[in-house]
Amino acid sequence: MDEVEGLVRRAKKGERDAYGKIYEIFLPKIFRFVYYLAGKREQAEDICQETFLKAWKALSTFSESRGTFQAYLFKIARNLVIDWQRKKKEQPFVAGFDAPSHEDLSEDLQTKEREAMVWKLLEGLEPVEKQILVLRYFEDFSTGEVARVMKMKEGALRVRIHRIMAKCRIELEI
Amino acid sequence: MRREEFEQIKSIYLNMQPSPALSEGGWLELVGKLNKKPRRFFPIFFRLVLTSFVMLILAGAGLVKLSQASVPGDALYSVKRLSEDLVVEITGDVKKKVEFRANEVLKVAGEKDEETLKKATDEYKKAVEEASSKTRDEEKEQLKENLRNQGIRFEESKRSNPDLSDKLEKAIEAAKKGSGEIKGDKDRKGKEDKKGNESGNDGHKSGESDSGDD
Repeated sequence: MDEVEGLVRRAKKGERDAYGKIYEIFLPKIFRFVYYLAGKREQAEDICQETFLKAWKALSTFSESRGTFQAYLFKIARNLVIDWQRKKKEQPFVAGFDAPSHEDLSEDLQTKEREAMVWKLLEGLEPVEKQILVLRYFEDFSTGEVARVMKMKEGALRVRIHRIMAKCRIELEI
Repeated sequence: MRREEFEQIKSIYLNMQPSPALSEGGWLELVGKLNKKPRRFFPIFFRLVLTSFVMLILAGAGLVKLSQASVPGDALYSVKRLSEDLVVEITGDVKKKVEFRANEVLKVAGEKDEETLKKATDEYKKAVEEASSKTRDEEKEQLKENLRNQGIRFEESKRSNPDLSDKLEKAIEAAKKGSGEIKGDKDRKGKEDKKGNESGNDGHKSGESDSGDD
């Protein structure tokens, strides 16, 4: 994370090249997170671009003392997904599974089947639970980072994680 | 769900990649939209104005505090007077002005500064005259009481500073005159009117009687 910290410091001074490196590092992470929340590839890509633009504009407000840059980016992405869901009113965020449209699924049948395994795991979860599971167990965020992204207290987050584990019947260490 | 199965799902999740169009062209598209420097939460100009304003207030407050010990003739005396005028304006209590000046006279007398004492006494005299004319009727009794007390304090100071007695005497006179004028103005006016009327009536009456007698 030291590399990221250095890049963030340079980006704060207006060095766009440094921000380009940050983009390179975090684009895949932000994309998959948004994709599995929004369920649409095209929309996910638009939200990704918007996330990086917004993060740049508000970069002066970011402080390492308040959390990692990763948490800062994911928080922006999450808020943008929520806004998008609200605007579109296609499927309320609380409705649960955001099914991908047909064309969004990979053409490759094998890939499609593999992706379906992820969707299947996530479909039984509430949106908030889905986000927690992805951040904590897929992206390997610390509980502190997850709490920051989700704007939750760590104690409440741990309780929520227990429930998610029970719901999915996942036998993992918390 | 077994750990192995979960790990498999995790790896599928982690393998999800953005389209080549975004991976390769996303940054080029984005960089055009970025300003040269990330926007500050407060623009620099606004922050400068805010900082200057706060500093001005702090400096002003410090100046007013410093000026409180000044006496007539000091550089900060006008600041002190301005702050006092503000207090009088806000409270609407003109009596305070006399109190301020009286304290000044006593302070300068204590410091045995004869020249400044003359100025302070003049200022006190002016303040008494102003208060006498501006104080509301219902507060005049209070002003009288204040002036009497100030007179007593001046007398005490006169006893402790005999060499300044002529200057302090002026302040004592102003205090006495001030308290007397408030009462005296009305009473004297009333008495004079009464006296005038009585004498006029008497004269008239006498004239009538004279002419009657004639």
